Amino acid sequence: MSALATHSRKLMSMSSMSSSAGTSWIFDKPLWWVHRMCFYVLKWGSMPKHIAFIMDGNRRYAKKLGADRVAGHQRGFSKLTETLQWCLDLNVLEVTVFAFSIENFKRSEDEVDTLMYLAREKFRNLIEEWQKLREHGICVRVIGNLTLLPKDLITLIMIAMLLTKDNKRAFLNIAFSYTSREEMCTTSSQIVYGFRNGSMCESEITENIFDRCLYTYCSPVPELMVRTSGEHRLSDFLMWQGSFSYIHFVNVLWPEFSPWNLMSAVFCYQHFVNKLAKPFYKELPSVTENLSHCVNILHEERLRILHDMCCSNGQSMNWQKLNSISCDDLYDYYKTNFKA
Amino acid sequence: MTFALGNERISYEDLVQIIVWTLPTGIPVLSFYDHKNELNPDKLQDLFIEHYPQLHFHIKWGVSFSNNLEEESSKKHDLQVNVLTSKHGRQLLIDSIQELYHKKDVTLSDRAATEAALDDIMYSKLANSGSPDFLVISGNVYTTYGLSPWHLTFTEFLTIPSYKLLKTTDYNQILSTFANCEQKFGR
Repeated sequence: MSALATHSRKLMSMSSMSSSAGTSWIFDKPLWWVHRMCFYVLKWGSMPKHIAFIMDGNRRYAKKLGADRVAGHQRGFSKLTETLQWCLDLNVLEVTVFAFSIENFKRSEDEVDTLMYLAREKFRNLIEEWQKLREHGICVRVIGNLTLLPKDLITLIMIAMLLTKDNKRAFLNIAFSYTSREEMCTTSSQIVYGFRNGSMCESEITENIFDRCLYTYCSPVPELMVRTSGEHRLSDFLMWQGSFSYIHFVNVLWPEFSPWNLMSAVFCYQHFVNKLAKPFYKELPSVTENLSHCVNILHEERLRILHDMCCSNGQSMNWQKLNSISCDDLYDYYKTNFKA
Repeated sequence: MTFALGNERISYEDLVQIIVWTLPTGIPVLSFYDHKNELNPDKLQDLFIEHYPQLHFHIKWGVSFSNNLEEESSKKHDLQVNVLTSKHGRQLLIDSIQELYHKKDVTLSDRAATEAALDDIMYSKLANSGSPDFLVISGNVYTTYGLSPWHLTFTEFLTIPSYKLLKTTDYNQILSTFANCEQKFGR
């Protein structure tokens, strides 16, 4: 009987978590002084500038508590906002998270629909909070093959990215509808297509060019990759970018990830950083004007395809105009055309 | 199965021992990845033949081995042994893209076709071996040391303190760890 009571208490706490907590992208709660002190000590060592997370274990967490999957994903989102704040406290100013893999489309229709619904909700929240994000200087980028997503979600993502693009203090990259194999494959074919059309020699295709053409071309490589849930694989996440990273596997489910787990990951990174194969370069070597032009065309084409897919009230959107207006005007435009 | 040798000095005797242990397991391909390019494949082959002349014909000496034994080793074999170097890291994909540039029959707008074409090119560059199911990383540091990112998408990782002086029980433990892995592939 008492076990049943505990169980129902857990369920109630889950449902309250999913309704109240986890709507904001900014986690304002100050750190416990013990954590703050440990963070301070840790920061004396070599710190990664960019950490990538594979946030695995939301469904198992919900199952463990006897709650439904949605509650698990909501709790996972709350943990993401907490983790972002811990990273900022540690002066890690770039974070990439694996939110939704292309492989996840294989899940049941019901679950995929639920995840898309949650994503819409989260990106709407992000847009609503654009001023708060600007105060914190957080730029949000979404990487992946967005063309596989519903059109209204692509539109929300594009607006969210546009509203935060000028924020320069910290960067959050969300891998959504992403796999590394798809990224490498798409990049390869677009490079070959561009080089053939530009009558450029194949010997000019180099690692440097490939890096510049990836979805992550704006970001430095992640020095540290963290995967939760005890699985010891990368599941097609940032395979190219993480080729020389230190990988830390944590045996807790993502919603249970704590500041201690993050500290342990950073501590191990500091311990092993000198044993990694290649020193991380800060900037990519420069390329000729011709090559740079070719790379720019590739990125413009990708953006054009996404812009063509976005629409408002069935009408295509004038992105040239939207790009040039202020964030206030863009937010007004969103409120008029998209607010649920 | 692939062993990433990490930062340790090469111990040929231990590598030969790993080949011998792997032979009866039914694992079709065993690769040693040395990102520092210090492992001499011919020396490894010579030592193996010297110690185990009777087992030599069960092995196909694959990537990086010179062709002098190709005829004998291309007969029916139980295990293919590869030595992978830094050129089998990211550069492998770049080389393959350069080859793709000349394959005008591949429809670049078709992602599956491009992926299959790149897969084929890399498959032949790796002497007809594909992605490893398991990567054993020697030296207790979880990093892939730049091994081909294309091939590690669903590979299971395991670190060991050192591949040197590995005992049969350690090797069995490695196999048993991998045998218990279960993949969901996004589901």
